[in-house]
Amino acid sequence: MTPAQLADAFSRTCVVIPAFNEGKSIENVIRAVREHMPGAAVVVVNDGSADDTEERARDAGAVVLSLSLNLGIGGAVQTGYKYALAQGYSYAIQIDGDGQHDPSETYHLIERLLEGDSDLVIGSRWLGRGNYVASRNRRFGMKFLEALVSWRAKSRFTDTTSGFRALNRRAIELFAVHYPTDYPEVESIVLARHFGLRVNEVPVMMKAREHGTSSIKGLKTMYFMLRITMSVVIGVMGGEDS
Amino acid sequence: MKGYILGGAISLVFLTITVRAIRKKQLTEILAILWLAVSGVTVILSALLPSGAVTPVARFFGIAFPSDMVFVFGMLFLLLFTFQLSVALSRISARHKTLVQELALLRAQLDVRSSE
Repeated sequence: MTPAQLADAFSRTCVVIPAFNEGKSIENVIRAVREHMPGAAVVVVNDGSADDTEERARDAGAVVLSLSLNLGIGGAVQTGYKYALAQGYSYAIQIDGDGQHDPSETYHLIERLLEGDSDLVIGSRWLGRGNYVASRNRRFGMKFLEALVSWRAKSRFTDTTSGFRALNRRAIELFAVHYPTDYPEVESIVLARHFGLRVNEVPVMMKAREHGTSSIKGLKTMYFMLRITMSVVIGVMGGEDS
Repeated sequence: MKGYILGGAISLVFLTITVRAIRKKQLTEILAILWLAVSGVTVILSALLPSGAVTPVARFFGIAFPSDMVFVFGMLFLLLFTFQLSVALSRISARHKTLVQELALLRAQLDVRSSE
């Protein structure tokens, strides 16, 4: 890929950063995105944060879509895709606002997308790059989801919970209309495959999060697993599509 | 007999509550009609049960006791109604999500316009 091609791709890319109370880390994430993806639009979806996420994101030069009520990660990310769709972007990158995803790694996602054999590219922690560690229970859960999704989507996925992804126009169009609400990462892979999209993984490095903890812990884990298993096994998602 | 009187009293109180809720416009039309019908049916049943007039109806459905029939149909009604409520609630939360998203997108557009 030539630098000119890359620059052209960046100028047609919308970076979607869902953020819920990420005032501490959001500026660094935005700055890093602007540094590593010059020319790309940066959109922060502020999911009803109680802190200064909105001001800090604006000060760092991002477009802020502020949800007046907390919708959860699925509704927030989808807002970003709706924006990307309406503004006519060819590509969208989803990256967490908590500093877990390194914006310098987006290069690998975009590169794979530009090869033209994927509509959705997922950055996987488990394909050899980086040394991300997870607890044994967490690893077990991830293995289970991996098997479930790989079976349902009829090809192998190693990091189904990764929220570090790149989409082409076709995927943006789909997710702007259909996107799961509660724990969208896993379900969205199955959804994308259901609608005939080509989904591929690329190895990326991920850091441990800078601030805060995972939103999925304790009893929520049980609900998370149950919900995902249900929607993946029964079919494509509950609730009215919007 | 005491039980029937209590049942009748509760039915009448429920009917009053329903009428008040309708007057205060706390129910949409269709639900108002539904709850009015339900209170009406419970009032009529409390009046008819002691006389044994409902027994042939229960027999028709293969149920020995009229009170059992009331239980069966009562449960069935509640089951279907709560399910219908879940469906309605899911639909409303999906619509609510869309509205919140649209609002955020429109506000962002407005910000761009006012800064131009």
